[in-house]
Amino acid sequence: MNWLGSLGFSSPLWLSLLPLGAAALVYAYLRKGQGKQIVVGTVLLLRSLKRPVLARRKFRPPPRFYFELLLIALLAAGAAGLYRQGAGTRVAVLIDNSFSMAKIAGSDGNRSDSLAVAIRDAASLMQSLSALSRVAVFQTSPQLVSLTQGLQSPDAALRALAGIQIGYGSDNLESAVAKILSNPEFDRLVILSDRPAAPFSSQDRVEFRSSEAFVPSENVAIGSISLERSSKGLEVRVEISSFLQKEARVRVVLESVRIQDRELKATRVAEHPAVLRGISRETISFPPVPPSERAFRVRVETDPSSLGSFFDSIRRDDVAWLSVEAEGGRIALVSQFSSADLKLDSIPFATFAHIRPEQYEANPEQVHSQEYLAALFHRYTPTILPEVSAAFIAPVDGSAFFEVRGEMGRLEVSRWRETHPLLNYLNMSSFRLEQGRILVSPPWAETIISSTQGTLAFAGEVSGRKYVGLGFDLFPYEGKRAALTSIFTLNLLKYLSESEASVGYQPVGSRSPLPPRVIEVTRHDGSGVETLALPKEEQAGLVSVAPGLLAIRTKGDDVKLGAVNFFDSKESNTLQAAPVVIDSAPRTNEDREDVDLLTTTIAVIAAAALVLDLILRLGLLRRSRREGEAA
Amino acid sequence: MLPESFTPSLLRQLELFKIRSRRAFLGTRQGGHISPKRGHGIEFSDYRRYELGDNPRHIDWGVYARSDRLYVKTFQEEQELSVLVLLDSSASMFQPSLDKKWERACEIAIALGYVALMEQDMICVCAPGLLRTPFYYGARAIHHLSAEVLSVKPPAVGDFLVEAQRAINRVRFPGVAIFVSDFLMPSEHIGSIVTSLRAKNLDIAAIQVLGPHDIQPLSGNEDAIAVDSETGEQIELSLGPRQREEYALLLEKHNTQVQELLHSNGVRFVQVRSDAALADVVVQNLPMTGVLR
Repeated sequence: MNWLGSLGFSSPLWLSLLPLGAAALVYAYLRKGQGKQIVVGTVLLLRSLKRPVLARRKFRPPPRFYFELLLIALLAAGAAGLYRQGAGTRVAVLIDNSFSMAKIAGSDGNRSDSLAVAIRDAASLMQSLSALSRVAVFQTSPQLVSLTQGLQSPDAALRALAGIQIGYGSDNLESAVAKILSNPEFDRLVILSDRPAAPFSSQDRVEFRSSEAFVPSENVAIGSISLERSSKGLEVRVEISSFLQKEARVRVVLESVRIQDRELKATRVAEHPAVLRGISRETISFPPVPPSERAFRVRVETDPSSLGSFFDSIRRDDVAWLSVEAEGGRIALVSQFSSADLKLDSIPFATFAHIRPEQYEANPEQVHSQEYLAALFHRYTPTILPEVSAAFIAPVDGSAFFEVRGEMGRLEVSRWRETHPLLNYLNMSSFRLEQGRILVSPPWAETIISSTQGTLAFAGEVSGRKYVGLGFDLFPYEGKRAALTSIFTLNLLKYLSESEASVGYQPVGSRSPLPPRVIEVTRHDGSGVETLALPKEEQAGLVSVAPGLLAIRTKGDDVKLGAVNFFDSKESNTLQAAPVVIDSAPRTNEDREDVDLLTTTIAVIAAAALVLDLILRLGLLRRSRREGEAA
Repeated sequence: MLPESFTPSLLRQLELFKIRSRRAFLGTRQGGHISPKRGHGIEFSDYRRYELGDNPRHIDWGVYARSDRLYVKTFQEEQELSVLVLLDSSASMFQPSLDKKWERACEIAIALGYVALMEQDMICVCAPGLLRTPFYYGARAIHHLSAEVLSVKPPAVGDFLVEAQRAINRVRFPGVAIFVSDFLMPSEHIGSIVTSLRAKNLDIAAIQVLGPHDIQPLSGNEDAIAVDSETGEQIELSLGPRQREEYALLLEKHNTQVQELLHSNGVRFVQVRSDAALADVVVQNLPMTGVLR
């Protein structure tokens, strides 16, 4: 019985072939008839007999039926990848620890987050393995990491599970699976994720384990946050993303926060009610607060007593942080005009380094080597793609990587990609261009704004760097007087720099520069204090892997505040999860030799059975022929 | 050679029989059947006035004495009878082979041939599409006839009705026609064949040969697929006692229909079983048709 207990299927979905095949076989036998064929003089009278209907007839199949049923069972078991857990079974366990796994599910009395459920499942899997098995545990977020440092015993792998925490990042499941599958060391890959497997994408070595915790639920999250300095003070704007099945009311609270004696002190500044509907985004602007405040916390509060209450399945995305002191990175402006000419200096939290086109041409490395967050090429196009994220604004001439057509007047926007981050908060229907140039999107980019004459703007990624081409000029930056181009400019800076420092915070995982003579950095998230390890070199900057308020203490007891946030609408979307598509990479011969799967045995048995069936059928055919000749 | 089933005692019994027709048919040579032709014979037919050229020996002098007029006596001439044996050559006669319906039909044909040839009648055996013998005459011809009939082997003809119509169209001599078949065919086909035979001025008799499997089909197999030997049509069957009873009723109904159809066309009919002894069939069943006496 132990031996039976150690059996399993790597692709159990294929077992559905068995009932389907059996049903088809029964139907075929019913259609074909259960008795043997007998030649009669005529069926003139037999035809008139009342015959029982197919379904009601007693089914008494010949022995051959059982033989063929066995064949189908063997083939189904082979396709399902029957394996025996035992010596030589090497299992990779991939645990999705992305942000969406923070979703709390289960009944009221037994609520736990999806990651805890996945860890429990992984633990039970490891306990079911024989001691001779070898297991490697991986986590997916923020990147694929082996927690066991190679194959370990199930007990060691079990201990490694304790170290898994929610990662602030996306799951990267497809690439993680591809990477693990490319390793011939593993016989099986068990994936524990809240994302379902795409149909027909399963591979014989891959097994998806789902749990009842991975069911759709409701969630409200802060989608983005920004801070703007105006004459009236500091204006905080919050975008709330809702993933709800019905209308609900929430309260968005703005608090001023400060660090006192290594403790976070919060003072409520304002609150704003909001009504959220289905899957939507709601932008809330708080009234200006005095510029003396140094940092803020924004929280979304649900009121269970009010009408339209819901269970917010992820609480971690209900909080966001802002710091007035956050420092943004430098952005290279390659243009004939300086940042002052283009009024870019009025953009808070962004520093522009002006480089003339001839200077850039003489030494393009200065942009590439110096750690600029991004480069803006204004009315100028470099000959080669720069090695930094860049925008080509109102290019005069084309280059090797995209084509620019002649200048045209009165261009009207006909289509735009609403969901693209560059077009956040923008309604392009009112956008009119007196003059502009039509661009030809390069193959690696997608058109994000089109006019009736052609592409006006494109965006794309090459080697992890982002490039944007705009057929119209955004500058000078005129703030509120030209709201559309100003918001576009801010979106562009945010998109290119991958940094939200310009709006008062750093994203999780980004490297934030440290001031000189730092002695300690602590992270405060409202529930506790964590002292972060300082980098060996101050210039390297500090990376925070979780959101919160950073207190950077320098010599002289000066404390600077920095904010770290994590926003990802895909991860916060608890209503829908995109299925995981697995590329079926064929295994090498070397892998096959190592694998202790029973599928090989099954394949041999099935092949032998097929040959036997063929011989049997030929024998029967010959016999019936002989009988016919004799008759 | 005659088949082994034709024992000397059976042959002796057969020699006592004679093919019988309900009407007189013109023959081509002298025989043992009364012909409508007036001429030499034993049976007195009529008187007619003497005409020049009549043989004075046929003058009835008694009538002359009474009436003072010359009258001659006419006699019915006795001529041979033309016998056509039409064998059903459809596949149902050959299947199932164990029933030996075809063999029995051939034996009947040979027996009728023996009787006819012994009585100086002409006989032709025709299995449409497979066999058509010449009109045999004289006792010695029985061996030729037997050899020819026994030489027929399956496969059977594709469309018996078409072949039968073609064969009947070639009939030249009126006489007796004996149709030997299992009659397991649609009534329209039987009606069509009988009408064609009647159109050739033939006195028709029908002999139905049924095998044990025609009466109890698929015996020993409750579940089977019956394959029609003629059309290849397959019928899946589960023959329980109820179905068998139903089949017996269907067969009876069919036979009654066939019988009524034949009677309405003036065809004499008898049913024989293929597993019955040949002597019983010939001596007891065939005379019931009135074909033999």
